[in-house]
Amino acid sequence: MNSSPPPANSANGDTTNNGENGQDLNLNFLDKIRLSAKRDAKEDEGEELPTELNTINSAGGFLVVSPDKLSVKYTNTNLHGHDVGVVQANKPAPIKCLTYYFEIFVKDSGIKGQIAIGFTKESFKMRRQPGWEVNSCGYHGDDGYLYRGQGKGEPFGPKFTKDDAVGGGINYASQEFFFTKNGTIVGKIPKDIRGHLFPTVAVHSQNEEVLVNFGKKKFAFDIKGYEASERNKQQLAIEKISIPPNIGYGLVKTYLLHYGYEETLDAFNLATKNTVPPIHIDQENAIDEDDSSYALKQRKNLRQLVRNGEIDTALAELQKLYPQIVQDDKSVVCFLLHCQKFIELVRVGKLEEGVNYGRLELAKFVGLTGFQDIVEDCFALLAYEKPEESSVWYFLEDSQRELVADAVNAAILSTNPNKKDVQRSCHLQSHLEKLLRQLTVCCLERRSLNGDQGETFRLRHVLNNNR
Amino acid sequence: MGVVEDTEPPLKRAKRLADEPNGFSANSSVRGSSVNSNSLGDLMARPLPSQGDDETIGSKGVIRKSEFVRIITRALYSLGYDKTGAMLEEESGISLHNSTIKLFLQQVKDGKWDQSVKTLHRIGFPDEKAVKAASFLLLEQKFLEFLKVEKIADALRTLRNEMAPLRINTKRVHELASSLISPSSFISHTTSTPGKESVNSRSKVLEELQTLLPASVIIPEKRLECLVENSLHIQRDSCVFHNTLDSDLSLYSDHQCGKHQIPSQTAQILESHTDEVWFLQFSHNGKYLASSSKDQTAIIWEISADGHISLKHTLVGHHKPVIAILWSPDDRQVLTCGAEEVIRRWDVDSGDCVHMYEKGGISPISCGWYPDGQGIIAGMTDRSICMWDLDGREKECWKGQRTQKVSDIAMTDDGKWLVSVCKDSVISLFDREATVERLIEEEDMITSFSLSNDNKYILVNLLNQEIRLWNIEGDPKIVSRYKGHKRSRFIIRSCFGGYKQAFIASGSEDSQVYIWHRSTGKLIVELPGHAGAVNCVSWSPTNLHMLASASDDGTIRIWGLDRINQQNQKKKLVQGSSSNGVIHRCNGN
Repeated sequence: MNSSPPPANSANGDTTNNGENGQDLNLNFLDKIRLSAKRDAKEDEGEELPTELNTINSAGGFLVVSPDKLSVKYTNTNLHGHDVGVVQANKPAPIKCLTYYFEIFVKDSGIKGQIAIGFTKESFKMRRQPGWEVNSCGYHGDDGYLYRGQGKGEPFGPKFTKDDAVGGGINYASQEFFFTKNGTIVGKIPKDIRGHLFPTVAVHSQNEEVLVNFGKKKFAFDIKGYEASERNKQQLAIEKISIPPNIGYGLVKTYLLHYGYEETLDAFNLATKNTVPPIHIDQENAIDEDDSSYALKQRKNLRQLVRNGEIDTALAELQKLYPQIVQDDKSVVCFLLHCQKFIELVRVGKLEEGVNYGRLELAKFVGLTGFQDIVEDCFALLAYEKPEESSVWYFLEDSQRELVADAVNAAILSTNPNKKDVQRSCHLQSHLEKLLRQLTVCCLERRSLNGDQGETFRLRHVLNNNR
Repeated sequence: MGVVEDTEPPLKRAKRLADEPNGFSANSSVRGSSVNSNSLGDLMARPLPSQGDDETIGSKGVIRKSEFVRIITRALYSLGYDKTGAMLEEESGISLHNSTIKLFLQQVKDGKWDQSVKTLHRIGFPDEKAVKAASFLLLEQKFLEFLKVEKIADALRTLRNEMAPLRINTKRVHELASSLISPSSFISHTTSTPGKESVNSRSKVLEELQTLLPASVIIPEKRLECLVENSLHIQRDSCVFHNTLDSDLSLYSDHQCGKHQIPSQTAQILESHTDEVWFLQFSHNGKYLASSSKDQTAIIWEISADGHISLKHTLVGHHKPVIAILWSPDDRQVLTCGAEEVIRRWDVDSGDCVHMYEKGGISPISCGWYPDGQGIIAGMTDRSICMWDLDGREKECWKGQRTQKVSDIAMTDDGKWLVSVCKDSVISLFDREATVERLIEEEDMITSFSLSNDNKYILVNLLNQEIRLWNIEGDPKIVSRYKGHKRSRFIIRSCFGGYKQAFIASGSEDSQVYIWHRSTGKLIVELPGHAGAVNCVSWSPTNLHMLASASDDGTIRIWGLDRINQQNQKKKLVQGSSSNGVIHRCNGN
């Protein structure tokens, strides 16, 4: 019962009409194809990581960087507050992740042990200790203080000196900096600096020397364990939220109904009969039958035809049962079915027949905004001796057939005479899909509030990790 | 032969010994550059062994004769002189292209695509990318010709089995696949004559091949024209006195402007100011000159067609020395800035004061126009920058942390950058659209600056007697420095001027005007004449040969071309022609 009223209310609030329903179809199914095309590209986008110290913008007069650019030594006698030997990493800390972490090892604490580790912006004055200027923070070894933007620091952690391993990290989920000493977290503070931040180390008295570890060597601090612990916190928070038992049942049931999986639905109902209270089943059935069970048998049959690649038969069935769907020969459903027919011909190597079919049924989509890019990618299948190994391989996947079947399914649901026009747009996606979309949007919004830092929600990633 | 050689004098024998290595080298070179034995045989049959690839011409020995002849041959063919081109190839014994290249080009012209691809690989270019790109080009043409005659199976085979495996230009491969389905949108010449279309498309292929394959194999079209044009441009750019239009360039002699193109002679002295003249500026259209003076007046001067300047209006009203006078973008009005007094706006036609701008208790130090002429900006004594509309309503007022004595201020023509001296040695470039600021930090105190017409450069006058040119596109960086003039106590201003603003002119405390060449920084001329420090100079934007200077001696001098030297220069040119003639005869010999 709880799952039904909100969508209905949402539908009533909409001001959609038939035209916009068509546009919704466009956005939904055509964009899914485009998403398939971009899947590889998205997964490949990676951030460059800091790997060594930046010798181009460091304060050259006060420090010496080793040839491998991983250790730094103060060479002079310090006299005042503007002769610090500061050096940044060559790249900023990556931001599209849960945490970032790096470490220094104090090889020599020199005369005064004025060593610091922290994070700074690109425009940081490279002669001042990190934390002494705005938009920077630093954990200093001589007093154990944390400095963040002012010359006056605050008590934070223990001092550190020779033979200590000290680390600095960013937790993007909690938006905090944290620092470690010899493998133990010594403190954390809110991260109130926006934008890209560079890992930074500073030495400030004669003979001070530190080695920097950006991850090539093992860290003294268990950053992997820390990440797992942070994820576990999130998971516990999620698991504390209680959901009525019939919510899950309803989601799965409406999904199966929506997509015409009649036999699976029967099996599911049979399996859940013993665990769900009978009264709920009756109420759910009474409501859902009108909404989602419309033309269930026909939708199942058509899905099967499309999944088997029998497009001609599917088109004939649609013409017979739901002629209004295929009446507009430039509709999205017609486009997808004709594309799939073309794809099936290419799959079995009937290329000239495919060319003729394309000229007959698909040429009219060339030049139409919204169809142009997909139809051209579809035609590109002709160009490859082994199209399954080309950049348009995804057209030959089963998921493409599923997508076309989904579009046909949605088109049939839109013919339901029992539903008012304003309510039809609700059936472009099942409740489960709506839930996932809302979850993704919430995660993106949260990340946006954090200055576009941190992870985003990726269903594939979650499923692969078996979390 | 041996007997004959024995009877020759020793001198002749020495000559032949000298010839032999050259011949050997030529043969070796030919053998290395050509795989075709016919070509080698043909060359060996030549009676003149000196015509090898290693022979050079020209006094510096850097021009290979074969390259030179081939470029000339190419030019002849391009100009349509086919017979002359063929004759030159025959007479010189140097082919425009070797036989394999000839075969390749002929196959492309005939549309024999498969054979041309094989020939292409037989040529054996080391650059595999170029070979692939050229092969793709040929196969594409093959595909399109199949498509045009509706041979779908052949077109598909070409696309799938020959083009796609090259793994280049994937986007184009996809476009060609689409053309199979929708041919009309890809072949727009369906209605044209098939033969003509083939010829045209094959010419296009040849043009594209030229850009893909090494230039030494297929001589690029217009190569000779390109070389000559580059030479003219280099002559013009290296001409430090260049102050005339490009139409004066000629092939008959190297380009060289004399000093007579630089204004260097006092053409007129204007004596209407009664005290030091501090500022002057030509109007944008070059028809007027405005000047301002310590005598608390400003003057609008009118320039007649023959360059004579006469007084048009004296602008009276200020009660303090007038430190600057600035033209509105349309040249109908001027702004004057009284020293820590007020800003006045004047109508140029009538000479009347139209409006006065001031802020209670705060005086302006510098001022400027909005680029659209609808507003005024001013640097004030309280270290703020004020902006008014023409009616005196304050639009904005900034008082940033950086702002100090805003001794000079301006806005670029596109209205994007607000440029001001915001500290003694710092110029602020404030991007009004993005609200970000860039700084030019100098080593010494900045006294004034001026902007180039294209908004790309800024000329900065420093206390240490140096003028610096900064490029302000992107991050500011110094481009050039100009030295020689004197500046120790007063504000001395400088300006861009001349053809394409190729010159920098400046006043000086030693009473001279200094002119440098902008790109080289070379001091070209020093103009004596004034009796006092020269405070400001302005170069006419329309008359490249007119320069005006303002001086503490109370006068304005108009500098023009040196007429006497001009006549002498003409005589020298005549002598020069004779000399060139003599040289030419020597070359003929």
